[in-house]
Amino acid sequence: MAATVIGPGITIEGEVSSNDEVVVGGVLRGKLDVAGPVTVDSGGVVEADIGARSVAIGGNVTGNVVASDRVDLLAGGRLVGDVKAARLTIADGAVFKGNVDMDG
Amino acid sequence: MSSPNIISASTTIIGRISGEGDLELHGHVEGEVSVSGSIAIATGATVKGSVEAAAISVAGAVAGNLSGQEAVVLESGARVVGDLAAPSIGIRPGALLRGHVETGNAPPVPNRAAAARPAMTRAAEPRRVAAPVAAPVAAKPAPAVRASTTRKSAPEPVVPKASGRARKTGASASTSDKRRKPPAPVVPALKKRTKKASKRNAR
Repeated sequence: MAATVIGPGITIEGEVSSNDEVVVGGVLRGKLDVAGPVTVDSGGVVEADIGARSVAIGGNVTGNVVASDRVDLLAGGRLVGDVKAARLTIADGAVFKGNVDMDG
Repeated sequence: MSSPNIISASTTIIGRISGEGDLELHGHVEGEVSVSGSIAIATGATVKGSVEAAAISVAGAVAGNLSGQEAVVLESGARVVGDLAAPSIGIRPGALLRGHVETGNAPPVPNRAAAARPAMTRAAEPRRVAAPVAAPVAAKPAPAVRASTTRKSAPEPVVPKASGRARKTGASASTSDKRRKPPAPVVPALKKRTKKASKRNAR
């Protein structure tokens, strides 16, 4: 179970789907569909809808986030988009603009 | 440039990958990959699209052109349908390739050029492979030569070297057809005509 690491210098424009963990430190535009955890590092920029088991946002995400488990918006993270998850944490210092649906 | 970017085996990317750094591909990519560092396409990885990098190492399947600023190496088990272009190209035994191979670009990095020399000299012997002759082809820039039409022009700079064999027959640096056909009948005919023509003119 290796992780997919998209480092700071890499830009991906398109649809990314994976069964493993995905760590985004670069730029991702399009769609992100992952069966495992997704981590957006502090330098990461994601302009895509994210579907994953769990999402940890430390960077910049513009798009809707749907997680089957949990969403964590870390300090320094920025999310503009709706969140649909069973569990959600928003750390002090994070920026969030969107709707939250934790029911269902 | 030091961050290792990895696309794991269960990942599929439909789109373009670009940027700085090295990339390790174990998954499936449908689209162009263009990276400033080195790309390693591992066994089991597939790429449908062109790949551009400083150095490319292929052990998986690629349907698209490979263009390396420094080197392109096909490991055993690689399956490539597409053109290769790099100053130094290595094709290990067991690699499958269908496409056009072009060397002769920027000055090669010494280590990789030494490793690729056996492949280059081996490929230079059969007449069909026009590419690996570095000196005459270096005049043509690699991007311009990638077009399929330039396949016809590529043999032309190579023939001046091959016409060294044809010096006996006196054939000038023209197409390889003259090497196959005996040029002897043509030359005596010309000589006869010129002699007769000079005699006629003298009269």
